[in-house]
Amino acid sequence: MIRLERVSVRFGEGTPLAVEALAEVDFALEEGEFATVIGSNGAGKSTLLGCCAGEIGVSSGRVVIDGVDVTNFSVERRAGMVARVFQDPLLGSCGSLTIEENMALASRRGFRRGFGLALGSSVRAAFRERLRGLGLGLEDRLSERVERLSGGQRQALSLLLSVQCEARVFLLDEHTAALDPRMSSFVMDLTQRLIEERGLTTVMVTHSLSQALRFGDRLVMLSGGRIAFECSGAERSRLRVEDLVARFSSSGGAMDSDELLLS
Amino acid sequence: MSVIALVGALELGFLYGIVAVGVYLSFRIFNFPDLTVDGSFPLGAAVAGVLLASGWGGGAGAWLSLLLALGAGCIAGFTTAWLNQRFGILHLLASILTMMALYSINLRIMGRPNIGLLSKKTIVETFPAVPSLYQGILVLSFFALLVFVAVSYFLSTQQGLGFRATGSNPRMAQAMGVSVKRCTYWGLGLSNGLVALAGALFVHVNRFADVTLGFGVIILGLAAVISGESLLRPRRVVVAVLACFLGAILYRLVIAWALHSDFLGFRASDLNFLTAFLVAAALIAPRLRWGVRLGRLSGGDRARRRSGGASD
Repeated sequence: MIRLERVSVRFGEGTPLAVEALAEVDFALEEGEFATVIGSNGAGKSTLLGCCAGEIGVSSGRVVIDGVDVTNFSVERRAGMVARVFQDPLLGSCGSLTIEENMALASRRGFRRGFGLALGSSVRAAFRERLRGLGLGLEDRLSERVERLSGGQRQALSLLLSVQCEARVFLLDEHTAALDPRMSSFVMDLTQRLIEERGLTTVMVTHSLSQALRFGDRLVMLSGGRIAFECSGAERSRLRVEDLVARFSSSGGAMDSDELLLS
Repeated sequence: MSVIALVGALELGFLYGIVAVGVYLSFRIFNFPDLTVDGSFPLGAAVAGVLLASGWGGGAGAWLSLLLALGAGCIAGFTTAWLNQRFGILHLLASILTMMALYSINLRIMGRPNIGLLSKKTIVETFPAVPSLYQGILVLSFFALLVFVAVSYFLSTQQGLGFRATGSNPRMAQAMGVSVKRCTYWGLGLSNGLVALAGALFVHVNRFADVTLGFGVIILGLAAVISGESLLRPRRVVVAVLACFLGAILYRLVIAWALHSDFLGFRASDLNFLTAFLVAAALIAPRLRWGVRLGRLSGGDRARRRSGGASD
């Protein structure tokens, strides 16, 4: 469904500060697969996600989504294929727009935007129904500005917004990292539910090793811009957090996650 | 205040309401402090002034001059957007550059610093049955209504939502498939087009064009936007656009009252001082609403900072 072919990303090429954020990474996901991506700071997790979303241009290699070579597609041109949730809850929605306006905006992701009114009573009713599924009481606050919501509420809304339209790939960029533990597990459960309901092909970057093991059906560990370790199936289900920590030290990457401190 | 002064103030209120909507689009919707308007207002005036002076196209030409002024303003907005989006020049600086260039361009268009149109036919004479005192306000209120309906409708459409998202959260807008670039071009184009339209209307109603008309237009527009917002506290975009007009009209009434009240002792040349004073007042007013408590709180903050203590 999504395939990175020998993708390299170099920043500051030709300068003394040149950095290779990704080095000839090959990575492919089949339809409906759910991969979690871990790695220390600077391992290339965010760069990998940025390449899929189109926010970061690749220096060499190809990005293919659903058989289409999208390597040179801008973010907005890929929007019809890629759904995305950011780490920062403020980035997933427009603060100065109301909840219903955000939903109307998201309901046209990847489609042409016309000159018809964005909101009507039937559209509102559908939005209300969808919000009710969150169980956060947002369905009664349709005309309230999103900036009035809490971080957790906004992130839950971001999730809903991002999957409102069909997407070939679903990208999650440490989307629970900025939330408190209770809200974090709520958002993660919601994520799991949405992915299962819609059979989304998902790439989730996370800092939490336990999250990386608990969710998804494939695990990818990045180190120094390369895939250091990858596993799925039975091998993955046997893995424990301690094994991952050991893997980290053997791959030479310093691990900075909370689990390391606690293990 | 006499009826003539009142009508004059309302005329200017409707006119600068249109300017305010343009400023609202750039400042509020796009988060783009756009000073181009100081150049696009006289640009619209220059285009309309030259066309009216030449008598081009007769009665239809007078109406067409408005459309051409709008187009010229659009191009001015595109230029600023181009400098900013294509070459990454800081928005404020890009707009100042365009504004500066426009001063020379406007002089070129007019061929002289000012044009008098006393004997020319303008759109104000469209309704000869109306007493001449009210002809200007009739035309201006019509255009104000037109702009209000068109802009508030547009901002409620799918396209309009894309525009608003661009200003509010460009990364999210992009991820939702909105072309931030295209929206910035069209947004600034529309904003400056409206301001140029207002400039052209000014010429039609006041029967003269002058290259210095643009001085301080941005502040006048901003004054209307801010005072309208602090009065209506809009949550919906329709109300926000309405607030632009309300702010502009109120501002003009206050100015007219201040200048016509002998006991205050103001002269016409005090206008800029009064404007600056009113804008400052409109900016301060929302804070005062919280009353003394906030004042004491921020005062305390300041005292703590001064003493260098980090009590929290």
